[in-house]
Amino acid sequence: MSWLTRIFTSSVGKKFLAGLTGLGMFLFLIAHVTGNMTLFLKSKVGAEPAFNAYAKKLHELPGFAVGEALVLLAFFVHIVLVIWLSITNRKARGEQGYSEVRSKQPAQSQWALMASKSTLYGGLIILVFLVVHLIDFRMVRFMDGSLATQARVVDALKVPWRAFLYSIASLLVGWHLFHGVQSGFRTMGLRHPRYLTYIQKIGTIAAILIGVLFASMPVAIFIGFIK
Amino acid sequence: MSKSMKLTLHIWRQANRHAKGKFEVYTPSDLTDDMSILEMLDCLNDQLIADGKDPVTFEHDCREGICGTCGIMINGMAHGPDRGTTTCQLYLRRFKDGDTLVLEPWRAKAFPVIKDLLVDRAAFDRIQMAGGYISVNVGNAPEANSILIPKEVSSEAFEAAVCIGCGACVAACKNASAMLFVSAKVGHMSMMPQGRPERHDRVLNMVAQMDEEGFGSCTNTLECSAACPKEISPKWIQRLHGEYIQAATVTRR
Amino acid sequence: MILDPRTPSGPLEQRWTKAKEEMRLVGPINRHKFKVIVVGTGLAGASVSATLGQQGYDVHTFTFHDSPRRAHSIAAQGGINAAKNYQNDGDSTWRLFYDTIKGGDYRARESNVYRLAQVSANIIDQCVAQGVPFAREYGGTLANRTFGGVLVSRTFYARGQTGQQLLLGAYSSLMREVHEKRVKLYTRYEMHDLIVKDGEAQGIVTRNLMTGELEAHTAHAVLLCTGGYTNVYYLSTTAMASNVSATWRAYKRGAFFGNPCYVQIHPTCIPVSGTYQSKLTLMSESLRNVGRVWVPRKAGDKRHPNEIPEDERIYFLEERYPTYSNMVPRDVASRNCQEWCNKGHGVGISGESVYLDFREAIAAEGEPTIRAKYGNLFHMYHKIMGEDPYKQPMKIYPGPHYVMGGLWVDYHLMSNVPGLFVLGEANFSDHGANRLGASALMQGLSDGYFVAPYTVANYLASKINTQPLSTDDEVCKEAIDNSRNTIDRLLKSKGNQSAESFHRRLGKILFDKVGITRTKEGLQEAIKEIQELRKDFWENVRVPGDANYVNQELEKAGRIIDFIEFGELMARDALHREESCGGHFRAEHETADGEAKRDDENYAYAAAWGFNGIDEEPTLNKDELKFEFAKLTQRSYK
Repeated sequence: MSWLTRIFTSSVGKKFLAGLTGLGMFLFLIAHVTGNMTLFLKSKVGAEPAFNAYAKKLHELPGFAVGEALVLLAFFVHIVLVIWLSITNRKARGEQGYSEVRSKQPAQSQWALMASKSTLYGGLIILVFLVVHLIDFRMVRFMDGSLATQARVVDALKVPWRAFLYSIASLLVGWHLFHGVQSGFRTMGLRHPRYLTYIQKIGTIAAILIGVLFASMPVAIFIGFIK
Repeated sequence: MSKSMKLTLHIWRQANRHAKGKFEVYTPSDLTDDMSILEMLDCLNDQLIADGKDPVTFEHDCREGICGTCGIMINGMAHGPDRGTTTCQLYLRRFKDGDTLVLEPWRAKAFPVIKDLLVDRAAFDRIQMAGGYISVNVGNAPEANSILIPKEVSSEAFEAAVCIGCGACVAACKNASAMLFVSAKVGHMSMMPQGRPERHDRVLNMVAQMDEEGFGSCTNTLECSAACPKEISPKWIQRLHGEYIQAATVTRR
Repeated sequence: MILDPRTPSGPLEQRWTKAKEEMRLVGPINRHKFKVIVVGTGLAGASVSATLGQQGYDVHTFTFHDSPRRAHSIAAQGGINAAKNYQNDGDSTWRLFYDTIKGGDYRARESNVYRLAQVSANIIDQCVAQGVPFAREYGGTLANRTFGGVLVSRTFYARGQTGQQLLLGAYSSLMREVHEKRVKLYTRYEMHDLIVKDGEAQGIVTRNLMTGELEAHTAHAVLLCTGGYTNVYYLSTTAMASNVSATWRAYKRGAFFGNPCYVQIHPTCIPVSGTYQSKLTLMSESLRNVGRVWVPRKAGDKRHPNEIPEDERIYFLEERYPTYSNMVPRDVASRNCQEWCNKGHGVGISGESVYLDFREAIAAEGEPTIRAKYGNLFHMYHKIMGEDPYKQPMKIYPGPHYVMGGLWVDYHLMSNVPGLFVLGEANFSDHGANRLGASALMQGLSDGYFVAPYTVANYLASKINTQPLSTDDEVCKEAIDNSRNTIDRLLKSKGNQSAESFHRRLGKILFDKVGITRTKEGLQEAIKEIQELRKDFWENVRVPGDANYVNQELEKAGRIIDFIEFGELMARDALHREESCGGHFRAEHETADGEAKRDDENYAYAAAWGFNGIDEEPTLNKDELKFEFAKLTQRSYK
């Protein structure tokens, strides 16, 4: 067995790749949310909105296509591996499940526990959202080659169901990261309690920030703060 | 002084590996608060035998929390509600008079039920066989003090080596994963200088065997460690991840 | 009959070397032709299986547990002795030998004990090489502590879980051999009988505990590593399934039982509290390093221990034995505890316990240090008693813990039945009438790693070009039928009492009359009561279920009837030994100041009993003990 097949077929190897791709997407999300914050910048009347300039610059970056392809690949690998692992995990309990299950973890860990237990479902909902999201803002480029502009974003998110879906999905992304970031670092083998505490704290803050900031956009557009 | 107690017991009864099991309800008399859970089952069994009924099969041996033979899911928690406790160390004084206790076997595909609360944990032995050892023949050993091991290294390795192989980690994990067990073995041996020569093969082979047995994988939920009667830290799982990736990428084989 | 122990002669320190040099060997290319059966996977069984497997023999190892790692060696707490003299405090092979002989009250064989002391150092090397995480000093060297009955620090330990760590080491070595297919492992197989043909042990009958199937397994040699019979007392520190059945059934097939009355009652157990209590939990002897044993000076003082001022406490061990104080051997400590309780000074609800106090040690060394060394024991105590030993003294009382008696073996660890070897606690050999702390682990591993591999090879060499007995042989069929008859008889019994209830009754008779202090009348009564109990058992026991699947009650009942039969032999042995020595204390034989009084003129022998039928008196054979090197003296710990 080659070393690569071993990594892709063993539970720990799969887990590692899922963690690695997850953390990669975490970095992508940081960049994505930071860039999108330009929506909040006020531009002079008549001038092009900052968001449009940012979008243009971003797409002109050398290697952008490669980066985009990598993100897409990471999404794909992450999703496939996680679903694969989940199926194995489901089977591992056996046919007869417990009549009752309770946690022995201390009360303060219960949130983390819920986040962990709901990761898969959250992830699947995010996947559905992603399809909508890509159709909304990415497919157009295939059709007419134009970039998403602030005007288009505002038009799209003014629609109530989209505003609702986007804000909920954003919070779900945060919830997903709340478990995902610390889990990813653990899976990378990080174990020293000293650093693990920081990672847990930073992970939690980052998860909340990313979730809230993403959600703030559809909300701001819906209430007319961003025009 | 001991106080008498009344408890309602819902106990999983299953005649054999292939039979369909179900819960039976018992209300044994003569229970007192200074009995352990296993002594409660002894007491129940005495009464079942006197009534000409089939006693409850459950596994146990040392009854002091070290052999790892006992293990019952009590009210949805492996080894019951207390942390750092095996089933034999759990006393009825922990419960209230009139409580209902649900007793179920460990449930995992890799731990098939043999009868009632008795499960087959031979999978753990096979994982151990796959690499959980240091290859040293009798007669090969160098003088014991010729390899110095810092106290903190030895103590840390000891914290993993205390695993009693009871399977509570598997029972409590939502994925029925054996990662805490495997990582404790891998961690103990890879920390000790004597175990380092074989560390790569060890982790690769033990994980491969673990997968083959049908255990789930770890999703860092940390329930295993909370259920572990020896309170083995989840850091060993993280250590195993590191060991595994290193081994998988640099091993010569 | 006078037995020949086959001990070598000459200078004590050269005997083992000389014996090894004279032993026959089996060449590496021939070893796989020899089949060896090992019963039991504790320290002795796992270590000898692994070692013989490494050497290339065809090893078949049986355990009635689900995994070899469950064997009761796992529960040993305190440590393992070795004459390494790492502490430079005057230890030596000689001193370990002398301490062991003296601790055993001069009832062990000198040559055996010296060999044990010699190989003790190799055991530590071997275990360290297996990755056993022994306690260490900051500089990285191995740490030691002191145990009872000695004045040096020679005990190696892994917190309070030394047995666990050593067994896991031996178990991992065993599993490596199983992986390499040099050892075939049979889990959940219980030995039911010994197969003897032409006067030689040639196999065993087993019952597969999963299917109920009875099978014959034959081999060139059979090694019993099945542990001790302490559980005969029902309430003991041993595991619930520990039993005498393997050795007892070998006895019934002709092997002699050595010194069955030598039992160690350990002073520091958690006292009996519950009515349905199923076992006693040991608090390691190492606690006596830091804890002080006391009772209130005033009999019947019911105050909380923390309210009893210093001058109203009596530290009875320190007062009576100033040199060894709290670290006197176990038999001495147990007897003193019992005496003070009998005088009405006992504490706790039943008045049957004494205090073990850590107040001073915690004040001097600090709670974290004590926690690091003994945390797991304190935790165990807290769980069981519901009292915090960091805040108030522990209550302790003596409880049966270990047996020095077992099947009689010679210097080669072979019983009087050729081909039947007995290792570890299952044999009677090295501890005399009392075992010192941290010596059991040493003996189990010494037998398994370093002694039996030589002596078994020596025996096998004489069997070259022979095949193991055919399992279709008449003796195999007879042995299987014999086991089946016992099982049928148990299942057919029409009573309504659980087997366990008989075990409880047996335990009470034995603890009261064949316990810490024994008298002639008591022992005679015990014999009669046990005989009645045996009759009652067959009339009133009820064993539910059938023999074709897992049936724990059937397993239990089979072991309990063996215990009942065996209990009688214990009492007989105790009755015949008209002296006090070590763990065998006869009230009729004590010195003026109340210590055990030996009779070296008439009883300096090991008693090896031969079976004559269940209702017949057994035959006494003698293995005379000669003391050429250790001078016979009155044991004193004052």
